Amino acid sequence: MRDHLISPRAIERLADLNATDAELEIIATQVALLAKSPKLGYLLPFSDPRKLRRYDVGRFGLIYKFNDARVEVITIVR
Amino acid sequence: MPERLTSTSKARAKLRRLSQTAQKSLDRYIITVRGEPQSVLIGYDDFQSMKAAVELMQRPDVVEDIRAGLKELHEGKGVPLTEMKARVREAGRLRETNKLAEELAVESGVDSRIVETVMIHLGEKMMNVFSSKGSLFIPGVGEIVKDPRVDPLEETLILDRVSRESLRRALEQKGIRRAVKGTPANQKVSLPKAQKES
Repeated sequence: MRDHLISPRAIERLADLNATDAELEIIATQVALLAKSPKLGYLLPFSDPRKLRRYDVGRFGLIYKFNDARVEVITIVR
Repeated sequence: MPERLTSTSKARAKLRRLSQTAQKSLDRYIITVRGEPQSVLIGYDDFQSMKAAVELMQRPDVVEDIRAGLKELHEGKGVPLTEMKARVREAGRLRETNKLAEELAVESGVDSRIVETVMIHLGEKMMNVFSSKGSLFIPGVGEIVKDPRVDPLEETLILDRVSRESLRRALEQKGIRRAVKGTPANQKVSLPKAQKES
């Protein structure tokens, strides 16, 4: 299976928010879950409303989309 | 997300089905009274999405982040999730270096970009010296001695943090003993002895 992806911008945000190793592991686990349950999270009417979603994990909101069964994390919000 | 007009009497008669369709298909029903739109029936997920979108659209930094993140992914710059932890840690260290550079720039009156460039190059050169000679003297900090029993990652962690205060914090976090000898310019940093296996 192809790897799920995260954008460099999202990486920066996680560093800005001082994400701990434990939180990063939870995010990775939740992303794997998202791949199996494509309807999790809120649809965002941004760009193409059917493609962007927000999914909250702990103190982070993941803005993500699907690309050929792969989850791509676009950015992280608080 | 189709929008459909329906009168109150029809909506009342089909409320259960309209509610289900609104939730499952994200259809929106505009309820009319005497032909005039009066209210809207939307699914709960749709409602939450709208709230989330309104919240995000009010934050220009988030909108910019979404645009930038989408562009990076489109350009193939996405990072595999398996590398996320290492990359976040790296970004955190870079942020710390930038902060140090800014502090030094304020103290020295030199442009922070120049300070940052010098720090990065100096760090690389120091790392090379440390790797080849097994020790390194940092003016104002002391001597760092390579201990083959220490995890190389720990050495890297220490060398990433050049300032005295940062070095002290790094050592403390790692539980590393620090022996101070002589003046501050002649301090010696001792790396830990290998722990005995019990």
